[in-house]
Amino acid sequence: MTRLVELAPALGLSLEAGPPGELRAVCAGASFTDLAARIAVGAHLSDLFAGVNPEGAVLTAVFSAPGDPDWLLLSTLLTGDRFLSLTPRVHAASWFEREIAEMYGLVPEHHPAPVRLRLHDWPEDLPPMRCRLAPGERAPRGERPEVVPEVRGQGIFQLPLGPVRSGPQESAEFLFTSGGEDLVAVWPRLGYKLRLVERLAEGRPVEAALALAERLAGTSTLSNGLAFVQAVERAAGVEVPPEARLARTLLNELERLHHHFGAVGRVADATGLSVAAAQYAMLKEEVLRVCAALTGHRYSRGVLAPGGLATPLAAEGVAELARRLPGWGRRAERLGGLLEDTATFMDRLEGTAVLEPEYAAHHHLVGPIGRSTGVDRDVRRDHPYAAYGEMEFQVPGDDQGDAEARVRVLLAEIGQSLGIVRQALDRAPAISPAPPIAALGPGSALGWAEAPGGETLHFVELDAEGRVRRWRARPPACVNWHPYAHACASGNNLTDYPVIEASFALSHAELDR
Amino acid sequence: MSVELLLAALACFGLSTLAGALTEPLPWLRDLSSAASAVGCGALFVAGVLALTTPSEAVSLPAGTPLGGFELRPTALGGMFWLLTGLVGAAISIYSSGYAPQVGGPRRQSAMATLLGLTFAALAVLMAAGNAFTFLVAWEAMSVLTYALVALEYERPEAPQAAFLMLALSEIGFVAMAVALALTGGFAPGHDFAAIAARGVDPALRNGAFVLFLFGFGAKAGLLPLQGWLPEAHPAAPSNVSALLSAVVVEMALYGLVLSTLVLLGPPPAWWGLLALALGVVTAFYGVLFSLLAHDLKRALAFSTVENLGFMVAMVGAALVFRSLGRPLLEALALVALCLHALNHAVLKGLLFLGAGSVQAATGSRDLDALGGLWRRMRWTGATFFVGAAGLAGVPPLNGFQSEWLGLQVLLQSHLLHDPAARMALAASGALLALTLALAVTTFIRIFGGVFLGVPRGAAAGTAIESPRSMTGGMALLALAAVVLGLLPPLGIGAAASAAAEVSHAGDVLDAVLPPLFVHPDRFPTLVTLGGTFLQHLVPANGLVVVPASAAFASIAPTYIFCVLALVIGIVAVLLRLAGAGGGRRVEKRVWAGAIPVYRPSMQYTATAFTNPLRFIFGTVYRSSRDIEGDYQQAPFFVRSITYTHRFVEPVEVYLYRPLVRWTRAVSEAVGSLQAGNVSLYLLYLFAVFLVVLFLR
Amino acid sequence: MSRWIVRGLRTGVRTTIFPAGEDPEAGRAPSAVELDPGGLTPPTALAVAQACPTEALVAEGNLKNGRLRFDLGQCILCGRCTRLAPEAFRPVHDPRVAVRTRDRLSRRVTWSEGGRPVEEAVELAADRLRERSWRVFGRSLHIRHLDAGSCNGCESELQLLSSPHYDLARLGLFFTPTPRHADALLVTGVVTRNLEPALRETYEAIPEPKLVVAAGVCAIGGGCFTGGIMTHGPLDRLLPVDVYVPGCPPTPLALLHGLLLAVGKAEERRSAAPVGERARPRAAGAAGAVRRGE
Repeated sequence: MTRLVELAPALGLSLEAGPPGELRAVCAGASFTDLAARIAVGAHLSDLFAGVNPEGAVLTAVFSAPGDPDWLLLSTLLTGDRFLSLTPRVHAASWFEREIAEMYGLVPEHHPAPVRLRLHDWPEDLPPMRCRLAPGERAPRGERPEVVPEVRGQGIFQLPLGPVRSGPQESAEFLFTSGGEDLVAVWPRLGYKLRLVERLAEGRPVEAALALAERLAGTSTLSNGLAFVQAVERAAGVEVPPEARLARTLLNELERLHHHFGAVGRVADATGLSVAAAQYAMLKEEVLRVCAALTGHRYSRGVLAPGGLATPLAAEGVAELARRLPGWGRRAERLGGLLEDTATFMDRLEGTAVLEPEYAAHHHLVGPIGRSTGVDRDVRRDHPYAAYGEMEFQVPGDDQGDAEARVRVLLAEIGQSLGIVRQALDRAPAISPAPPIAALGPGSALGWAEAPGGETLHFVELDAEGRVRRWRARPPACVNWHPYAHACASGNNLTDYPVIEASFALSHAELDR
Repeated sequence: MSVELLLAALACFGLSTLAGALTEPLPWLRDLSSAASAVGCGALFVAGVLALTTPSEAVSLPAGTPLGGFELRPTALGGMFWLLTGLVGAAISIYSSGYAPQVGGPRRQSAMATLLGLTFAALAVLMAAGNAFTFLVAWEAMSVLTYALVALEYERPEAPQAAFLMLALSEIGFVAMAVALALTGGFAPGHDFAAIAARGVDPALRNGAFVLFLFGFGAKAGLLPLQGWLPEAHPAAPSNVSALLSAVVVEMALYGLVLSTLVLLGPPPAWWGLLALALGVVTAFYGVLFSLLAHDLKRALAFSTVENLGFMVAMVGAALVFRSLGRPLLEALALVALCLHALNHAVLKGLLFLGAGSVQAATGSRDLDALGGLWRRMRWTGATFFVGAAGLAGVPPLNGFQSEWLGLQVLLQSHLLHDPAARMALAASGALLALTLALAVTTFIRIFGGVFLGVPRGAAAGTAIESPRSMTGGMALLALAAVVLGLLPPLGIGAAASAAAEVSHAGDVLDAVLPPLFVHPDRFPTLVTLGGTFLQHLVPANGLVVVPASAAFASIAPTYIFCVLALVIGIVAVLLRLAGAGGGRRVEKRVWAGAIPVYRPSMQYTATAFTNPLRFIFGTVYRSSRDIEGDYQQAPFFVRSITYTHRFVEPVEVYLYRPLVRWTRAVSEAVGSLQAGNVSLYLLYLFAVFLVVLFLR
Repeated sequence: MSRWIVRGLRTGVRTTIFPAGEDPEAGRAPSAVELDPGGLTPPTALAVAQACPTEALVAEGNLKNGRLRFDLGQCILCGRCTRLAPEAFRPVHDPRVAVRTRDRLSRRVTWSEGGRPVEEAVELAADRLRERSWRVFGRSLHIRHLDAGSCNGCESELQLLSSPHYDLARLGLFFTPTPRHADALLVTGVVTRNLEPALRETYEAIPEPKLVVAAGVCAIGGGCFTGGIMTHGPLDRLLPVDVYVPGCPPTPLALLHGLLLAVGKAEERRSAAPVGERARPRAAGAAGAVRRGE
């Protein structure tokens, strides 16, 4: 497999200077799609986004290849508002292009389904990321187009779910088509939680944007914050001291732990195993309390700062973590074993919502969902950040692609996370805060972290005063929501739906932003 | 007296026919035709009541044929069926005057009125036929006339096809029936039905005659495996004709079956009853299974007719079993159940088909998945249809519940028998029948819900208006009859008991089923203490509690159930009014559906979806399969449309009819080669036959 | 299945004793930030207002004359003010931070002529929550939750309320799936444009009498999402709010306190009242806390 650093010149691209680990190339608008498609043959299209320069609109595609520690950013300046869609050749680009089209008003030609992704009744002629609205002004409400594919059949009917769901859950709408007991099609209607954080951050200082990055999504708070702050540090060329990196690793893994405990608990709840759900909820609560003891916030908000940590980890918290960690390990293992022995639980997961490896490979899925269908990718291992380069851990995977595989990957990752936390504790993480960075200057860089749901990728561009000029956030749900409708329609029943939803454990806030 | 009334009825039908024939030049005659037909049916009804209560003498008309002359002898059994024919016929006649424009132009309406009048006449004669000749002539007239009626809308291809299938099966049955009647000696001169019943039939021929009778009448009744014409003919025919078919014509087959097997053929061996029982129960189960899956309204109702006919044939079988074991009272009980269900089914199924016609007239559609929400737009049709659906589903205290309950009780009486085979057979049949009746509830919920509840699923249902008053009047008449029959068991059960007493020769049948609590309260202490003498002074009758021949075994009191229900609902309504009078206000808000922005009619259950799980539970019978296909663009990941198909088969059609038709065609083609058209070959055939005859001589 | 029952029985009782008593374990994470005007100086006041990423701390004027407004309803608990000015800003570990009117979340401190900052009395709005409704709801409250565009942090905390540690059912509080059976609407999240119609419809669907609880600073004031073109909040611009629970996200105990406050089974902490009426904060809340950074 040719590495990206060799591939780019082979395709006639000249690489420009950029932060370490990032290969930057610029090409002409007309050849962008073709080049991107050729690069994507052996690499993953991790992101495709747009931005606006004084000269016009800029498209950037981010690639990463298995086994290759570099990222390749291919940019082009568009003349006009149209560009040739990459989707027919690279299916993973589908939703990225839909987002570009609705947010920037750029039209992807020959896109097979160029319908709106997150906007509902926003007016057609007002691209939200480019429009000028007075403070407090609200755009008028227009028509809400129907984006559901047609389903034909004798006696089928539709069952709407949401946007207001039953318990304390995120708001999202799903339209089921059913023949009575079987699930013929599921169509998620997303975008209800669109806050347009990327636009909110424009022109604001880095600290404010960091607060936004953390509050993009609650269960991947630290990961998104980490990706953002690492992007800023890479743009400014700042080194982070090792104790701070260890602390960041520790907190990242603690976040993964409490997310996975919650996710497995929800799967157990969906199958009616209330004792298992309660046990996992208790584990999650204990992890959150330890995070509060360490950082002063249950979700570790407010602890990151460019250059290190805003506040060192509390010694008392570190001691408590060391005390509780073995207990968590024992309980997680015991519960996981009990779950595997519970036939009523495993039966409902087996064969439910199967995602074919081919689909996953075409759509470049990430995170536990991708790993459960054979896409072996983890930025902790492939593009080590924070202190992961010094940690020993494995990346669990499966290839069945059904709900059972997803839950098994989650359980295995819990074990691995506990191991990494142990290693980080042994190396005595940070007990002193980081020095403040001197004023940030202009620059741009990628930042990434492995959120509990997969890799989260941020791109930050700073202006001359160190304020955010463009911020692109691509949390893992942006990619992992693709296969949801496809997996639901793979011969399941209506009663399987809660199990499917719980086994995917996707976040709406991450996609809607 | 009843013969005079019969002749009066025939005269009215003749007038109706004449008026019908002249409707084309004089349109107002159409209403006269309907009125005359209704009056004739009324006379028939009264004749039936009289025939049940008083014995009548026969009337003979020589016809100069070698098979005998016409003979009309009203019997109690025939009177029972006159009663139901009159009642349903009157409603159909009233309904037809409003429904006629749906069938076509003046010529078509004229044809329908003429044919209806003639059909009623044929039916009236059939039920009073005293000898085989009259019976067969009337039967054949009925078959041909109903064929013409079913094929009335011949521009639609399914109508002539369905009518032809009906006629074909009917003729096959006719041949069998005629041969059987010949076997019983019915064509010998001077041998009318009374004489045959008195003398008995040659034992060597009885088994053959029974099988032929069962086959022959089964073809008309829709007994498995001859039910194929029912689900085709009912949707294809105009709705008043469908009502006539389901309510009256198929029950003629039942009349014929009872007449032939229980009256003519004499003491049966046990296997007759068991065969009829088995066939009946399997037919009932089959009928309800396919009623659950049909998405055409009238097809679903037709399969329900198959189910009910199966139930009634099972009752005939039970009666035969009890007769073979020498239990006349139980036999009478089975016959009471049979006759009562015949009456109830006629009223209710007729009502349902008239309602289906009303729905089709208003919306132009019979597809259950495209209707809905008609309750708000068609109140009368909806209310009467509800009475019919609830009745046939067996909801107490309506009349359908009584007869179904009584039927199951009959089968439960197997514990009184000593023969183990009979006991097991009756018990197993009871179990399967109970399952069938439970599924019948499902199918009527599905039918009623799909048509009337929810919001309109298709454009046609959204613009429906209520039918004209004649149509709703006919339906209301039948609904009223159903409610009255349910409220006052002595009416229906009294009639059925008379008929049953005549056939089974058991005494005191009425007292066995409706204990005379009002007249002899001391004999039934338990029932009296339970309040069984309520309404004693209001209703001059035997009593209002129904028991299956033994008061200690089981009992129901539909009248009392109704009174209690009315009382409870009334009290609750009054309490609510009093409680709510203290300042509650009513606010109307949108239905809560998760705050979904747009609510569409497609977001409600459809009739097909309602029984989706059953399709897989009974998958071995249905051979069901489903298929989900996506229509993609560019790659299998960008779905443009999805098509969902599910398939099932009707086993009898696939595994019996089609191979039989293929075989018959093959054989007839092979035989056809004998008719080469060569004259000398024919002469050779003649010569060969001549030789054979000589040889045999 | 029996092994699960054994497992559950062996775990024992883990439920917090709140509100019957204090639970320092559960109250480890601070639920709010408290301002002590005695520890504030004009330079620090201006510095913290500069550092605050939301509009929780807004300063006007200069070192000689100026005013600092502290709005807990916009405080996202980032901790910058507690690090910059630890004498003036302290984290609050007492979870009873919910209030009934928006004004009780605000404090105003002025300084003039170079003197020490003194606190201004804030006019408190009338309490909207009627005494009568407590009697109607009696002992229990059925809550319909609506996510009006949150980051999912508040939902994560709300889901933990049903876990054995908090067990809100023992307090007579239940989540209900249908608004028709609900007594209260609990809204989290800044109200996004796409969800505003759903919010209105859910509110309309709840029969009278009903309560509205705004949980989290996104719902109370918008938090760091204020001023966006897609955000239509804060909540009290659209609906009449009865209880405000600050926090980002509010800790589970704070949420419990807020719900109990709504139904009349708990009291507000009085430290948000103006100077004259303010009682000293509870000793356990300040002294026994785990202070950040030490």
